[in-house]
Amino acid sequence: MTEVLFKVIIIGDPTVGKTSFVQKYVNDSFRRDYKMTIGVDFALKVIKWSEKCNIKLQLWDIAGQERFTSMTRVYYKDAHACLVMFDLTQKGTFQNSVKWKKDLDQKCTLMDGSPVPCLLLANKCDDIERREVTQDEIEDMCKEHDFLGWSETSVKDGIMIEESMGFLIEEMMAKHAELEGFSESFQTNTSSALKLGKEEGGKPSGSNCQC
Amino acid sequence: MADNNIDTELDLAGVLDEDDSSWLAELETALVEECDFGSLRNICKGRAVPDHLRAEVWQICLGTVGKDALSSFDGLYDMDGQSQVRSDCKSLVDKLGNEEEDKVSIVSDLETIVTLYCKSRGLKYASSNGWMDVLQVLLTVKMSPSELYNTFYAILNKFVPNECKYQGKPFHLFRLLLQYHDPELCSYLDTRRVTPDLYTMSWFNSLFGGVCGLRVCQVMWDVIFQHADPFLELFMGLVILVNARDTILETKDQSKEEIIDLITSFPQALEVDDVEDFCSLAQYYAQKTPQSFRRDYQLSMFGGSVVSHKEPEDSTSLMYSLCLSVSGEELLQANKGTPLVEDAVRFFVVDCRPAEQYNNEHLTTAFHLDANLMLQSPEEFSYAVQALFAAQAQALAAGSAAAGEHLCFLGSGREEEDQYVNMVVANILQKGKQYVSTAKGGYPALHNILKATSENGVPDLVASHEAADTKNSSGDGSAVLGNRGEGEAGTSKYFSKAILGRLSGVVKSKSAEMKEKLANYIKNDGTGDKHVSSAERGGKRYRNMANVFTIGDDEEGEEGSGADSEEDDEQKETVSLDTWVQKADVLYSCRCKEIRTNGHSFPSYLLVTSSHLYVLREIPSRKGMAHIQARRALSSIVKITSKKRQPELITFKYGTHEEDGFHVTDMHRFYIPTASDATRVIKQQIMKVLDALDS
Repeated sequence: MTEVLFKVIIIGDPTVGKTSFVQKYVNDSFRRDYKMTIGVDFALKVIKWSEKCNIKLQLWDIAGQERFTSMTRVYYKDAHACLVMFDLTQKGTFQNSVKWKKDLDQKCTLMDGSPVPCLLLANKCDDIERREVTQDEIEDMCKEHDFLGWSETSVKDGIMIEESMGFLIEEMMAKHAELEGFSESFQTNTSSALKLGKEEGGKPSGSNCQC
Repeated sequence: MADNNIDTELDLAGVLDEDDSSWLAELETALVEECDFGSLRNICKGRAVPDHLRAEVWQICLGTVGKDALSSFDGLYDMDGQSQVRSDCKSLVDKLGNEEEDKVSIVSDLETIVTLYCKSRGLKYASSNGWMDVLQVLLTVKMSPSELYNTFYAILNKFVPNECKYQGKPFHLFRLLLQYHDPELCSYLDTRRVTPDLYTMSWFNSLFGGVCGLRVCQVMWDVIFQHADPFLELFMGLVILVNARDTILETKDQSKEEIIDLITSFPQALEVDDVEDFCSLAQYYAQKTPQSFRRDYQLSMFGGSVVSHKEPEDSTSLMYSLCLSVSGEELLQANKGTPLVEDAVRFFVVDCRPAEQYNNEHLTTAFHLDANLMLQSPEEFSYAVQALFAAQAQALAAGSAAAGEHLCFLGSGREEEDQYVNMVVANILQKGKQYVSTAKGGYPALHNILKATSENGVPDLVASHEAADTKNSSGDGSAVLGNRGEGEAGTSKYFSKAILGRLSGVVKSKSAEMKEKLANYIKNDGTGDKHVSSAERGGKRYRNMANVFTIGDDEEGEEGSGADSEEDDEQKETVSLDTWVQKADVLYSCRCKEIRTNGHSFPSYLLVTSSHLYVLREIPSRKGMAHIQARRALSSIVKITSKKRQPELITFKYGTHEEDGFHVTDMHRFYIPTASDATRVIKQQIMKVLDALDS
């Protein structure tokens, strides 16, 4: 039995639903009242990937408030994947997603130097009346800023939580396999540039859901 | 009683001691003799001063006597925004309602003062800076323009924090202080995005001059200036918030703006007779706070020279601080021997370094909680945290040297590892734990201090690798704490050390039995730390209960004389607290603090029997022992009063019932966290006693 450990960070503006997402995904619970996260919170989930392999998923729920940003940046380190979340009912949080993504890419990369795979989550899709961001806008941003893909979610109604995480895990596993090979080949020669180039244009909006 | 011819308004206000006005005569004499600040403080003892002496007292306190800075004014009213200054001065004077012919000269004096101040400090005037509010209070005290300028200058320089602006440093510090004392309230306000700069600006930029009534300000400033502690006003702000916490926490349905307006206006409700309690509570909170922040920020936060003291990274570091940080010196000092000051902060040190570093060398009193556990096994981590709280409670109960209400987290001083320490601290804060700090510089800082202060290598506070080895085999290094020559308290220390040793061992071993063991520890922990807040909530109840006694606001000045005159502890009977509390005839007991009129407080126990009220005062140097400070017949209690805004402050008045009412002969004042319970029981007993007397 092998065990693979993945560190996934979740970032985005305050109140978009990061903590709720983590709680929903890990504990299947949802609390209506918002409470600010201090610094960083942390949750662990073990997933049976196959008969032979367990995945230990570390979810780092990083506080969105500016107060904590200088402190929380250190927690980006060694992340295998990232969720950038915004709130469909607050356009500002959507615009800031770009900042969060850029911040992440500036602060850390994968072992091979490629950007950390990043999924864009458009939360609170249940609140159709207060929606402020269109799917086209999200699609455009997703392409322009090299997100792996995007998905609308509703933590409240439990929509696209498992699916998004499943997609991200697949991606991490693929990358994992690739990096295993990478670190082996690293000693002998450096054909990684080619590999990377191929990966980069990869599968963009694979998880694009229409809910 | 009121035959003393003192200022009537103050007499009404109840801030002056009716019975003892001798200090006033002393003060007058001292002022004639041009006394210095020290002797003034000794005479006034933090009390409000009569109106006619105020100007002189303030000037001595502020150190402005005999200065003449105003004459250096060039007489040119030519700065940017001069017209704004003029119109603000004018509207201030209009508000005051002076005689028409005086107005012009007052306006002109004010404009001169503000203009010179701006010029000499290189500042720009802005209407929102609180200066007019400061001047308004100063104008109520008779002073010459030159004196006015000097006091104005000194107040802004010494008591109004620099950077009183949006997102300014004082407000970040204030937030950390609030978080330290009331994390739940702080978290709520953070969640609602109500940051302190939004509601405390008008408090701090004018020493409450912009928000409190003029009389209230005068008395408050009397106290503040005498204390000469610029940080006191932050704690005053803290008292205001903590006092109103229930109201604030009930604002879930209100908008951010409404909350800001609500909180901003709280100090308006302060009345003159609240000021004394208000100030002593602020001091109480100040004492209950680690002091390191003072040294860190005194220079940059006060003293005006904003421009030269520009330390941008300092301000941001405050903003981004997770919690208060404590210097190594303070940490070590605070836990050394018996505290000199009552209420002094004592720390329970939580060492969060990786196990190998901890095992290599650590403070003997530290609890080990490996921060990495949080990542590796969140479940075990949460057990470890419970164990931590349990161990802390046990250490406190046992009066151990390791005991402290204040949790100080110790890292390795390396960012790489300390990020996990921060995570642990964030987690603890998220749980709403009070009194949480981190040790500045981590363990290396402590190590260096200890090395520097100890000549013979390994200091006795530290268990080094070799010591730890023998310790494990020989059953808990007796050397370490015993060395400190505190034999009498020895057993309890060993006891709790044993617990600590076991617990940290357990945490490290990560064995399966851990949960079981810990569960046992935790079960014993019934008495854990209680938030004052629970009592505050309870406090409201009894005020609505109708009864024979006046339970309501203190109305008149009532500084008892008797209770203060009995300082001779030697003659008091010494007893064991435990034995007394458990006596069969004790119907009720609770912890409390006896509050003296001079602001001193003494940790005490209040015991109620069917006929008497006992006050047992803890003896700091002898754990578990107490002096019988007072023994009062319940029938002699004629009045129990509490403060509206501080229901835990209870005053008992003793005396005799006469035809024309009762005569108070003596009084006691206490800070009782469980005030509502205590007063209820006492009232019931008094009723019984009185009933028995009647029949």
